[in-house]
Formats: sequence, structure tokens, C-alpha cells
Amino acid sequence: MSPWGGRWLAWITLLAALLLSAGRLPMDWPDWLAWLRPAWVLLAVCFWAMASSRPLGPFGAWIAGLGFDAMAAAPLGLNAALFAFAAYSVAQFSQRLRMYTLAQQCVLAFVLVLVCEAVRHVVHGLPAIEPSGLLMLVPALTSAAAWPLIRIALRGLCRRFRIE
Amino acid sequence: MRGFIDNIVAPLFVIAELPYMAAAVVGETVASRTALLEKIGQLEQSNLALSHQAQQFLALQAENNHLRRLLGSDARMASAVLIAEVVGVTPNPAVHQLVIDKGTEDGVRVGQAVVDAAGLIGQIVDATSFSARVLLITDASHAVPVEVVRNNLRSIAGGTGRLDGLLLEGLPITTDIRRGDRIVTSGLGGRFPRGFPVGTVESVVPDASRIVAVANVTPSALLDRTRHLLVILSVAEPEPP
Repeated sequence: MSPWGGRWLAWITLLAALLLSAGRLPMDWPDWLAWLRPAWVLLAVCFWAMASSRPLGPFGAWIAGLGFDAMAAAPLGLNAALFAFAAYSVAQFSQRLRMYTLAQQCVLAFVLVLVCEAVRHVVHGLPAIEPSGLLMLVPALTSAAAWPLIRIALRGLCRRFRIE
Repeated sequence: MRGFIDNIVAPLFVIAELPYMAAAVVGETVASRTALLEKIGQLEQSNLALSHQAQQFLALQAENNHLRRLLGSDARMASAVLIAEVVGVTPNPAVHQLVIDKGTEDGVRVGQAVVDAAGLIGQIVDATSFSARVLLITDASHAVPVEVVRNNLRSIAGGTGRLDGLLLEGLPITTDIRRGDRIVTSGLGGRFPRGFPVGTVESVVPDASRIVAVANVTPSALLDRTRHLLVILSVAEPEPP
């Protein structure tokens, strides 16, 4: 398949990740469950940055980040910069990262999401109102747990559309 | 730039809300006759009680207007409102914002106050053509001028980042405020109309210095449950005497 096919698929999956991020919990569920939501968009960005055909580069990640900024009511450019940084970092070491075991990739997802969450916490001034600050560990943990799902699902799509 | 991206992203919230909308439609369709009759009965009772209150309200409003004219006061009352439905919640749990299905095309503007049946919800902070964002009063970056109903004591109710709490900070330790006091908007600053319920004082705690106290307030509005909101579009000027 042409590289454009890969790009279209990458953008469709990013859109799906944005949709998963936009979905709210039922209103009668406890608020703290919102912290369990994995960083779907960041995980999808990492997957496509790791792919050998490079359907998504830092610029694409930056665009997706702008959409996420608007959705999450974050300062415009914050998540865009974080996603671009993540995509660039992953792309730089993509050959090595592809050789990693699933467990090692989960650890990588944990570290990346944790770094992004830490930057978000600092920018939002959360340390002032959240004495523990450990809440940022929660999405990092759930993202690490969700990484195998993302990998299996997106790899399945890649095979289906014959993308490397 | 932000408005442009918001316009692109806004439909995502609506799409993400579709399962809940479908569930609501299915729930309404398959509701049993008994349940519907029971609901109608409850609504009739509620309607009767509200009609009674509305009659009292009209009489009190007329009396109030008369007294204000005598005093030469220019106090304002909320008039035009717009019913909006919540179609999304920001995915960032540290930011308390809702997305509603009404935008600038419906007359929504940044800065308008938003209430529900029980009290103040927040204010519009961003509006696109067909959607708008509401910053809740509990967001850590939000504050609203309030007063205590019992003694008109003025203060500022700041958000805590928790949906179940507001804080009145920097109250002198001798301040006459106690558990159970009802807090309403004071109207100062002109952003929120006066008299909308904000919450009830849950506790008053002196700080370490024993010079000032902090009052914890439970919000009146159902911030995390309500689906339908009222956007206050305009505040009517009282009729000239």
C-alpha cells in the first residue's frame, strides 16, 4: 500500500483516540475514575512514530496535540509540544524500540506518559492544590497497561491494510 | 486560532456523547407505563408546588420592585435564559469544564453565568458557533463573589479542584459565619447576577495562625450530575419608576 494509506490510517486511529479521550464517564460514577483514563492519543502517537514506514512524524503529532489541547482546555500548544517531543524521541530510537519486548515497551509507555503528566501538572499549577502529586502516576500506569491493547489493535489494522 | 480548533474538535464531544443519547432514547422508549404514570404524577406535584411558589414570587417581586423604586435602587434581576444540554466533559480531570450544545449562534457569549435548578454552575469561558465551554465554580482557577444570606457578609468563594467543595478563605476569626449558612452570589463585579445559590457552609476551620479562618462550602448545584443547564443571556434593567 502507498505511504498515503498508512497516513490515512494513522490519522483515523488518532481521531479514534481523540474520541476515546472525549468520552465522559456516566454521571453517577465517582469522579476519581477519570484519572484512570489511559493517554490514548499519546499511545497512538508513539505507536505510529515507532512504525518503520513513519506514517506520522513530530509535525503530525503536533497537530494531534493541538486538537487534544482544544479538547482538554489546556494551554494551546502544551500537549502539541509534548506529543511532538514524544514522537521525535520514539522515532529517533524506533529501530531499537521495535526490538524491545512487550514488557519493556510498557515501561517505555509508562515513562513517556509520566513525563507528559508531570509537565502538565507543573503547567496547570497542580502542585499547589494536590499535595500528594501522585495522581499523575495513575494515568501513566493505566497507559502502560493499555499499551499491549493498542499495539495488538493497531498491528492488526496494519496487517489488514498491509502497512509496515 | 483556538476558536478555529475548538470548532473542529467540538463535534467529537457530540459523537462521544452519542452512546449516552442512544441509551437515554432507549430508556425513554422502553419505560413501562407504570413508571411513566408515576413520573407524571411526580411532575404534576412538582409543577403544583412550583406554581404556588411562582405566585408568591410574582407578589414578592412586585413588592420588591416597589420598595427598590422607593429607595432609588438599581438592582438587577436575571431575565432571558437559554436551556442547554451538556454534551461533554473535558478529559483532563484537573480542569473542571463542561461542553454544552449551544454556541454563539444561540446567543451564548463568554462571561455569561450558567445555573441549574439548584444553583450556580459556573460561567462561559469559550464559545464557538454551536458549542460553548462552561468553567465550573469548583475549578481551581475560578472564584465567585458571594455573600452569606443570614447577614450579608461578603466574601469570595474559590474553587478547590474538587467537585464537592468550595473555599471561603481569609475570613477574620471573629467573622459571624457558621455551619449551615447559605451562600449566594453577591453580584459584585457584575459577572454573576445577585442571589443565585452557591452553596452551604459545611465547616469553619481556623488556620494555624488563629487570625483567619477558612469556610468549607458544599456547592448547591449538582455539578457532576446535571444534564440540562440554564445560560443567563441577559440581565434585565429594572423598570424606571
